[in-house]
Amino acid sequence: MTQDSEWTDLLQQWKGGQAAELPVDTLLAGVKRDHRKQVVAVAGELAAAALLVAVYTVELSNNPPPVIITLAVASLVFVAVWLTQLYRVTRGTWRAPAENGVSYLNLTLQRRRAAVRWLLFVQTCLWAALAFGMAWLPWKLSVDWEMYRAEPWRGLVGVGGYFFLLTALMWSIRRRLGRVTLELAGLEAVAPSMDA
Amino acid sequence: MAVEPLDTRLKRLLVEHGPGIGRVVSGYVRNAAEHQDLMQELALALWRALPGFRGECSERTFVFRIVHNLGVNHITRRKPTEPPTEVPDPSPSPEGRAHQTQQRLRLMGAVKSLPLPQRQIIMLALEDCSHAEIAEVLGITVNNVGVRLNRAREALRQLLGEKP
Repeated sequence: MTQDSEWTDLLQQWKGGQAAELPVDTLLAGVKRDHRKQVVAVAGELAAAALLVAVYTVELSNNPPPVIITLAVASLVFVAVWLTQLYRVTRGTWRAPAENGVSYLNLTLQRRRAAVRWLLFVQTCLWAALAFGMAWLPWKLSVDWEMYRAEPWRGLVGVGGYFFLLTALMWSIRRRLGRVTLELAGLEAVAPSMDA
Repeated sequence: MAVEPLDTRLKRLLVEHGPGIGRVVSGYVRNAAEHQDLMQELALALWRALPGFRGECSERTFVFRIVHNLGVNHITRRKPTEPPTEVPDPSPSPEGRAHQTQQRLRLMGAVKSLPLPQRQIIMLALEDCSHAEIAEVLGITVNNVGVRLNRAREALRQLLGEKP
């Protein structure tokens, strides 16, 4: 058997049989659902950033004490970094898959690296917030001890809520970091063999 | 000239290129559930990319670019320890066509055993894409396509020779 006829056989085998029809209507319904979810997620991040900016701008305009000024400025800087990273991580998400393989791979690598840097930065911020919370807790308890004894729910909601939120965020960031790191390792492993 | 609505355009692409898309997606996944997930992801990516498509390449090239790019993403998202489960067949296997189905599964298994760059190039060649089209999809030169395709065909031949 010649190589050409062998190849023709393979072509027939590859395309042979009755081709399955795609569930087009189900796919279209899924497209609209997924698109909506992702738009809501991005809008949520932007709205949260806008809310933080608004809250701290109002705080700053009311001649606050130095502690609040420091906190507000740090938060505004955090929001600026957050939005820059959001742009870097999502840049090209919608149109990039239509690029050729090499361009897409390079852009995806850049985006994943930006995502890892961002998640590490957030993780560091959360550790700092946890350290701040641990240092603040004894002081807070000693100052408001009588109030917490009289109304324990305040302690539960205020102090408990702070640490619960922080722990949940740290767990979520850790999971995302694990996932993105895995993807990045996979992309870096295939990248050298895919290039022109 | 009337502009084709996005929904209609996507539907047409999925119908026209559906069989090819289904086969190529099978080359990137390990079971029916992954196939379904990747198809959904692909439909979403097509829907988003379509408004920016100005006909710089053929529709088939455009579709295959997205299929292969998402395929690579899909592979790199997998945990390396996850074992393969089954070889999904994009087409049903009716009675009396067992041999044909078996041959197709054997070919698909061999294609999936190839290293990723060879797998991509062989799947595009099996979809009857020209060297120029393959170069446009993968972002490599036409000369490079020729070299890689020869190597990939040789590797495939060896794999098919080894497997009973």
